Formats: sequence, C-alpha cells, structure tokens
Amino acid sequence: MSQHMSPRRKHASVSDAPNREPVRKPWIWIVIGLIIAISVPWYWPPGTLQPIVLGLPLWALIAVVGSIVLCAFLSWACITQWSDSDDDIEPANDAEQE
Amino acid sequence: MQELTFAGTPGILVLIAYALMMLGIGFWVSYSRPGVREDMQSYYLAGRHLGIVVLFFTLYATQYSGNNIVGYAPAAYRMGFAWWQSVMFMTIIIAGYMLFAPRLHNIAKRQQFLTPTDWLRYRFGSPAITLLSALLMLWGLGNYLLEQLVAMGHGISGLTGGTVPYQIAMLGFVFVMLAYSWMGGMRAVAFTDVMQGIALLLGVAVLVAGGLYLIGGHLGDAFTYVVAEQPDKAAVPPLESSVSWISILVLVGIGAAVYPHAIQRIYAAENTQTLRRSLARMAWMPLVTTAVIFVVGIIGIQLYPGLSDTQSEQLVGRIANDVAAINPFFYVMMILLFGGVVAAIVSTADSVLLSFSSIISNDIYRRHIRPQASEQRALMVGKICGLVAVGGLLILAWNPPTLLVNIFVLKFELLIQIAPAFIIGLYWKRMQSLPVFYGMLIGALLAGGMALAGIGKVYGVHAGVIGLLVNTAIAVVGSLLMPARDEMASLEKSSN
Repeated sequence: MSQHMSPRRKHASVSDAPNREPVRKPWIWIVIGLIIAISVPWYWPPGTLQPIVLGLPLWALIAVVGSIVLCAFLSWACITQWSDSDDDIEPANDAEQE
Repeated sequence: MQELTFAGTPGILVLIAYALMMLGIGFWVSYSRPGVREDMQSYYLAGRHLGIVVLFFTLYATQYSGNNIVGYAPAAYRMGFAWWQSVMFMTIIIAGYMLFAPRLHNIAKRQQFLTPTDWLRYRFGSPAITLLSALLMLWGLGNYLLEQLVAMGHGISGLTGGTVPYQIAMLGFVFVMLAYSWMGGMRAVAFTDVMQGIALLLGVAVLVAGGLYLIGGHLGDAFTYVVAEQPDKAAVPPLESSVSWISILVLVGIGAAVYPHAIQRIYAAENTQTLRRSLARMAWMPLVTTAVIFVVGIIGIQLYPGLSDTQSEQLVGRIANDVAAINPFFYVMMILLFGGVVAAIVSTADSVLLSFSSIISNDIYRRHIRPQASEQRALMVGKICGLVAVGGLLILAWNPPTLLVNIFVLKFELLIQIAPAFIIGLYWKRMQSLPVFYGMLIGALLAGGMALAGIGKVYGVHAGVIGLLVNTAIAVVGSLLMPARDEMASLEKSSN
C-alpha cells in the first residue's frame, strides 16, 4: 500500500493506521481459518461415530465448541480490533491522490 | 408448509395485530420525520442516522428470514448433526463484513454513497461495471423478493389453517409492506425490523420450548436417540460433504455480507462505533436463532422418525400442531410463532424491495435515463418501479412458470460476483476496470449457467463459489498483466 498522503487530508493514510482495520491483521484471518479447519470434520474418517462425549459424537462436539469460539472471537474482534474513528482510514485510491 | 388445523380465527387476529403494528410504526416514522420522503439519503438510508439498537435489529431481521425457521429445521431433520454448518455459515457473515465494512463505511460517509454501485462507480469510473453490477443486483434482489413473497403466502395460509387463501395472504401483507415502506422508507423498514426481530426471537424460543416439552424436557435424550437409532445422521459425513461445508462458508460468508441491502445498512449506520457494536452483537445471534432451529430439527428426528424428504418439509407445522394441542398456553404460543415467521419474512422482503427501488432511482434512472431529474422525481420513479416489480413477481408467485423456474432461483450465484470488485478493489490500487468487468461477467455466466444446467456443485464446491474463483482469478491476473496506470483522473471525473 502506498505511503503517500493525500493533499486534502493531513492526518492519515492506511499505512499510518495499521491497527485500525481487521483486514490488515493477518493473525485475525489465520485464527478464523484455524477455527474453521478444526470445526469442519474433514479430517475424520467418514462414518465415524465414536467416541461419544457428553452425549454427542466427538466430531460434532468439536464443531459445536468451534462455532461458539467463532462467535466469541468475531464479536471480540469487532469490539477491539476495529478503530472507532470515523475519519482516519483512507481508501486505496484516495491514498494515491497527489 | 402443513396447514395448521389449530389456527383459524386466532391466527387471523394475530396477523391483523402484527399488520396494524407495522402500519402504525410506518405512520409514526412518517409523521415524526416530515422530510423522510424529500430526498434519497433520508428515504433510502434513514439519513445515515441508524443508532445501535435499530441498526442491530434491522441487520438481524433482514439477515434472518422466515426461511431460517421453516426451511432449516427440515434440513437438520434430513442431514442430522452435519446441519450444524448452518450455525457456522450464519456466523461467518460477520467475518465477511469485517473484510470491507470498516473502510467502506468511512468512504461512503465521506462520499455520500447511496447504493452499492456508487462505490464501484467511484472506484473504477467504468459505466460498464456499474451497469453490469446494478443488473446483477436487481436480478438477484428480484428473485430473493419472489422467494419471500411465496414464503409469505404459504406461511399465512398455514397459520390461518387455510382460512386465508395463499394469494389473498400474499396480497394483504404486500399491501401492508408497501404502505409502510412508501411512507417512511428505510426508517420505517428499520423500526418495523425491531418489532419483527423480537417476534422472530420469540417464535424460535416458543417452538423449541414446545418441542422439548413433547420429548419430556431432556434435550440429551434427542441426541442419544439419534446416535443410537439413526447413526447415519450422527456419524462423520462423507468428505464431499465436508468440502461442501467449507464451500458454503465461503458462499454465505461473502455473499450475504455483500447483499445490496446489507451494504446499505453499513452506509446507514450513524458512525463506526454503532456499526461495529451492532455487528459484535450479531456475531452471537446464530447461537440463539440457527442453533435453536437445528435443535428443533433434531427433536423432530425423535418425534417423527422415518419421514420422507417431502414430508419432512412440513416438520415445523407438525411440531406446532402437536405443541398447540398440549394446552391453551402452548396454543397461544404457537400462534405467536407463526406470526413471528410471517414477520421475519416481511422484514426481509421490505429491505430487499427498498434496496431494489434505490438501485432503480440512483443507478438506472438518474445515471442512464434522466440525469437531470430531481431527487423527488427519482425517488418516485424508484418507488413506482418497485411497485411494478412486486406486481410482476406476484403474478409469477401466483402461477410459477415451470419451464423458467430455475431462472428465478438464481440469487447468491449472481450477487456474490460483485465481491471481488467490492472487496479487493477497496484495498488493491492496481485493480483495473477491464479485467474486473470481464471477471464479473464470466463469473456470473458460469455460476448462473451451472445452476441453470442443474450442476449445483462440483465435488462439493457450489457453482457460485466456482464462478467467484474464476471471477477473482480473471480480475487479479488481468490487472497484473495490464500496464499499471493511474486511474485517479477517471476517478476524479466520475466522482464529481
């Protein structure tokens, strides 16, 4: 992303505000990917039923817990990983305007 | 939906009460804000002043339709535990929003965007892209609206035990929906969503409470039953189903977030804090909506084992009938449930219709037909075109043409094709209009063509996702191959 500043806007281009958008934090997307990879039962042999834990097949229990973790993580990310400031994020093209 | 023998006159009374509440909210909004119909920003985006409670409920009631109750419980019945994927795909939509909403909200506020197409026009300055995306959105929205109208007719006809026929039911609630939307625009739609969202939550809660009562109060028994008696619905699904699970996370996660009416709610948020807090709450809603419906489907496996696929479609009606027979309390609760289903359908349909009208007003009429038209005139044209579209869709819903029916099913497949231009274009300055246009066109033709040919999935991957992958590849590789150029000149022109 360009480091240029828009002449119309003194304070910020995207690169000045790396902590303000979830999309610029790769670890957020890695965590989401990991939660999905663990929750979806692609790595189990099809037809597996055992073991049963808390009345559910383990694969289904993992999917349920994974979904709850996903809800919690996304909710937390919206609250803490997204800037409140309404005016400090430049669009890609604005950052290019010279 | 199965006709509910328990609900005749009481069902009609509940529906009339809901209809009067919706109309009342429409009147109140219209008269408390006299300028609401004066300009397009006020009418289509509630003047960008949606606060946290209203924004949350309008996101919720728009995203979750009656189909989430009536259609998802049978899916859980048929697929068993693998249908838990519905909880995940409704959750992952929040990640879809996180991809673009923070930046888009800010730009939209600065540039006073009205429709999703405004962003594409600002970014690419290409009439071809804006027109193609507007047409894709109109087609997708029209089909989405048609689906809601049919569901509305079935829902009301079921709720009233056939006392109110399917067609009359559709006409009645379409009239109510049009009346309050016409009067108060987005503000009326969003405020009625608060009431409709609460009705949906209440409906889901009473349905699962009744279902649990029928099986003796122990949810664990239902799970144990499925594991012991129908192990094929409890076992790990085939690999292709897991691929399909991941594919649907991509399809819904991105597709539902870039729904035009969803994007317009990002525009309408009062500020960033309101938006991110509403979305933070939305992230939990699958657990109190889709997960509960999943449980209802699993309870159904124990209550009514051995239903055919067609019979299972009537699962919610069956459970509601049996729950209503328990005692007068549950009888009343089940009537509220179906009122909630109808309210949820109306709340989705009204948002879709409003978005449809805004694209007509802003992107078709004022851009391509009468650029000099006043806002009031453009507004009126959008409203009237919405009315005409609803009329046409009602005729289709009345007598669906069997030969063409697949054309009217395309929604996600088409809508999701605007995603690369929308999301990647937001961050990648080198993205260029020509490859974006061809990516969008080829992606839509491929996904739509596959769906029409009856090829819904290839090795578990949905046609819409395949179209999206091809679309993205064309847009990205094409932009890399073309010489980099400064698009700012055209951008400046187009945004002025």
